Amino acid sequence: MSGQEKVVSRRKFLGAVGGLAAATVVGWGLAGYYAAQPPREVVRTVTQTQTVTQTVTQTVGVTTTPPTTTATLPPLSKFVDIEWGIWSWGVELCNDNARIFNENNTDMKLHVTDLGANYMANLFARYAAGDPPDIYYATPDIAYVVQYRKWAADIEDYFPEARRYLDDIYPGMREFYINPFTGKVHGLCYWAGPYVFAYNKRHLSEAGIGAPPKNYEEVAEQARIIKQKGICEYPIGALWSWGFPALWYNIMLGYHEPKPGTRFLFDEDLNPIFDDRGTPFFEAIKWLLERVVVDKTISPGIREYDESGITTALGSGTVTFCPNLPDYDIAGANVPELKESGNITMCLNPGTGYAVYHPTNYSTSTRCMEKGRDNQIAVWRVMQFLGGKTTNARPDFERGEYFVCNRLIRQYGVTSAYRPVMEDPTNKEVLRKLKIDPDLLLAQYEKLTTILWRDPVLTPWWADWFSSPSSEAGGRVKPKFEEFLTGARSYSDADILNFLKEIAEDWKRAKKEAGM
Amino acid sequence: MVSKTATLFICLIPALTPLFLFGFYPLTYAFYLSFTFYNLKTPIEPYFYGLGNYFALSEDPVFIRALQATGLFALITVPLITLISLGQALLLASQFKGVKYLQVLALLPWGIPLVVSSTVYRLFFDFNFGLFNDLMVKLGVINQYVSWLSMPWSALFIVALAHIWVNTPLPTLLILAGIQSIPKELYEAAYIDGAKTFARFKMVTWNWLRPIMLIVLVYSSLSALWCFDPIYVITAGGPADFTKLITFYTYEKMFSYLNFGHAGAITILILGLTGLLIYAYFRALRLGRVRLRV
Repeated sequence: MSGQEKVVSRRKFLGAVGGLAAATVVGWGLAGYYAAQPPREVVRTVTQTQTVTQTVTQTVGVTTTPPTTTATLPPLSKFVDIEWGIWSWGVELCNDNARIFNENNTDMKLHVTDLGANYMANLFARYAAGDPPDIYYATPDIAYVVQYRKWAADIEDYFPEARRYLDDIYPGMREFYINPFTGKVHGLCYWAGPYVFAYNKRHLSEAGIGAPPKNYEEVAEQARIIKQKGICEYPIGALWSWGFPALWYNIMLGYHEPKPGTRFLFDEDLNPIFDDRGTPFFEAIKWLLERVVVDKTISPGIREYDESGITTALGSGTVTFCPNLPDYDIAGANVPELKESGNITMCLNPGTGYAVYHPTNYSTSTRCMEKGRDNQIAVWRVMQFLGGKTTNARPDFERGEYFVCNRLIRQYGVTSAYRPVMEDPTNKEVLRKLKIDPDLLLAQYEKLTTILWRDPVLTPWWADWFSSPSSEAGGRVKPKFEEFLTGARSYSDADILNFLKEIAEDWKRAKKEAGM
Repeated sequence: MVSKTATLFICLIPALTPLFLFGFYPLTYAFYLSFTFYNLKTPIEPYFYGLGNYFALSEDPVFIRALQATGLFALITVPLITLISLGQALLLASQFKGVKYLQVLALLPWGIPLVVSSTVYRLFFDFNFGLFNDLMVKLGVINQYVSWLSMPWSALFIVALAHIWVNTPLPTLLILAGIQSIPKELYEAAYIDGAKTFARFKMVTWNWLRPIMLIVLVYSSLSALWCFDPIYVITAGGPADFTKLITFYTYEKMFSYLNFGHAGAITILILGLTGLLIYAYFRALRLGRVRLRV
């Protein structure tokens, strides 16, 4: 072996090459970061946001019925295949609905694609790949992103008669079905229902309490009595996981009646307005923390309640009150297997009576609409079958029925945004059988507000900040708030204020990163 | 010669295809993503971002916290997995009636899907209906149910327990195989030299097992670094992000925040960390070459 060969050993050679590669990558990255700062596309300016909000308010306030247009759709000139993206709930029912539709619409085909439990990520991945489903479910945070990115089309742009459906939607829910950027109806209702104030009437009766609480002070007082009498250790629970934002809004609404222009968290320019003493959010946090720390009527374990957890807790008598239960879960808390079956009911949200709701809609992709008139007609037929009025699975606004919406409520107690569906005597009877008092529920429907989704508008980072209503993961506010529950923060006014300032900063940072 | 090489490659295709498709391709794509601004929730089209994602991560307190949580988790689980596996293997290597059944029992957790075992742990420690609370109350340890999963340290330990339960069988098997391969003569020589039980364990068993123990360390460290299912099922990273390990944080960035750029950068960082760990352990393995001193 030569001397030169000894110096450049394999190990040294590999080390040198590795180091050089690493240095190249880092240099490349740094150069890219500093030299190639691309222009950031600022899509929505503050001025635009204001305009958009005003447009929506005006649109909703002024008229819901569009100029009369004939609802008769022309026949399709070619066979069209429409893909319907669903999440993994009621898959059999969806397939059956598709079957009924196909039997009555032989000139086209509707097929179902289950996008799985990780629905939002899968849907967006399909969009990113340029192959979104033609029609799909959208929760508010999904609807906002697809509208913001112009991935979704407004159905009203293609079929102005879609606006007529607004008349059937409860006033408090209408605003959600309007695209905040365009003021147009973006889709029809899949399901929608209020987050109701649920309680255990047996617990109240055993505690000698004659009526459910009329305001949040009474909630606190009744919870104290129930605890003192040993009926329930932690009488107040809540849907924490995906109901986290709704919990705060329902408490805030208990104290403050929503009026046109009411804002709880952000102003028109999306600047935080909650990070001060005495704001509705401050008071809501204080109310909840006093129940945790002072009264001990809320367990620090409240954070463990997901939807099935809080439903079972209510049904088993482990909690007495839940201020933000999805309405259909009252049926789940009253199933015969649970100890408190028949005892779980609801009342209007204490205080002002107003509550927030969880809506979903059918969205249609811009890509579908760009395929041509036949696809537009076909998808509108589908949308009306799934979320509108039909006769024999063909659009019939004047005489048809909300076929699929009725099926949902009759089979599963899944409620709707449409008044004709909710007030249908058969459906009311179904709700009664599920131990949901339809009269109480309808009273809450009359006192709903969209403020949870329009305060003043959602933003792309809203769910990442507050926590997603369609996912268990994510959110900056929730883990920071949990520091109160773990004792890492005290419940003093100063600490609450610090918390609010911190999350306000998080919000501002996210807003800046989004170029707004 | 050429045809022999070609044959070799053709034969390797079935093995290499999944490796490239599900190993190298995603990794290369993650590498690309880590230098790209790619956030599906914004209307900004993906563009070359250099080290922007890495800089952003370094300023993210949640990322720092996730790193800390992962380190803490590894500190708890790695020694425990190693010690429990060693203890189990020593027990299972003994000759007594019923040892065969114990061997099956020890391997059982390995056959249970992680999601299932994690769900069992979640239910076991549920603060309303959990068996653990019931047992503790009946034993008089506590007088009312406690929300174990809402207290940072207990939540971390419960997740660690779920992780350890599933990740102990393989190291146990490795160590057991190692123990069973020790020549009896070594023990006999040590016995003749007057070595007591502990001395025999230290001089014979431990020395023989050292390379295997290092493999167990690599395995348990990497499994701690990659732990995801128990976090997802039991705590979702809470309370207050205390159990948010780096894998769960990556998942959030990818599937909840839809920030593919950040997720790609974290993936590359995890990859680097994994490489460093493997390098460190293998270096230790080389330095600690077995030298029996009987």
